[in-house]
Amino acid sequence: MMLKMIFRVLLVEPSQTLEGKAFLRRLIEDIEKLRE
Amino acid sequence: MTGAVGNASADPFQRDLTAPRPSDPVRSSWLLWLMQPFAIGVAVTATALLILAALAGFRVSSPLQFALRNESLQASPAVAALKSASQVWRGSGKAAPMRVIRPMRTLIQSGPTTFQWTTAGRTTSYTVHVVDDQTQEEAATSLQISPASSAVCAWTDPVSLTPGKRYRWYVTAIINEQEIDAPGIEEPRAKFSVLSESELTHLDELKKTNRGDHLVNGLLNLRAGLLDDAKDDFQSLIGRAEPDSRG
Repeated sequence: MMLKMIFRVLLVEPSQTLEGKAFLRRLIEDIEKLRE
Repeated sequence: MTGAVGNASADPFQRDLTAPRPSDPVRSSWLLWLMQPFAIGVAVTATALLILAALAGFRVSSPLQFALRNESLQASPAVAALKSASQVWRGSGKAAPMRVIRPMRTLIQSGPTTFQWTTAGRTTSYTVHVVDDQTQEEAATSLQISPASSAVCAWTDPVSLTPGKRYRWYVTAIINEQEIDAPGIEEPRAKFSVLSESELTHLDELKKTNRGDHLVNGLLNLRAGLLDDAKDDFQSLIGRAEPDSRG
């Protein structure tokens, strides 16, 4: 699973896949949690 | 004449040019190796794997590995320190009609800093104050800023704040001839720190190998505590500019 995700991040632009977009949105949400 | 030729061929030190040449053993073995389809396949596969490994080594840095492996973020401890230092001074009460947006509980890079806050109705003007969090001395003050027509107002301080120091900031609005501060004394203070020169140098060195890669740069910014920069990196990857409505 991790290998699959690494290859997705490496070989495909993250914003061009649903998984990539979800990953980025989760990162942004987590940033806001760090401030709270 | 004929006899002379016959004598020359009989000479053991004279090379016989008419005799067939022996084939070069080294050259023929390389040709045979290249002719083997299996060997060609192995060579192509090995080259592809080497290129892939080089790309992987170039793009996967430790923060990305951390994020993928642990599915959590790795931020600077300085962010946690800012959070604990930004608690409410006293009680709870009426909040100001405007809110500060950024910088808020984050580290920033040295250089001109942009302060953002939400606008409030019937405001005559705004003034931004930046205060040294240790000495409580005012480090920067804006001129009076006219209200913007948009929902967010901003002011950029042209003077660099001191690297490694912690600051807090607030904005004063003139509303109905009354001065109102945001955040007020009832709200968490808007604190931020400026990244030290050594930390900034280290961060720049890490970014050099990933120039233009927003994902890795965002994770590096995040690890350094530059929350706003990291957020901007991730948002640019998503390709949509979400308005920052959180304080």
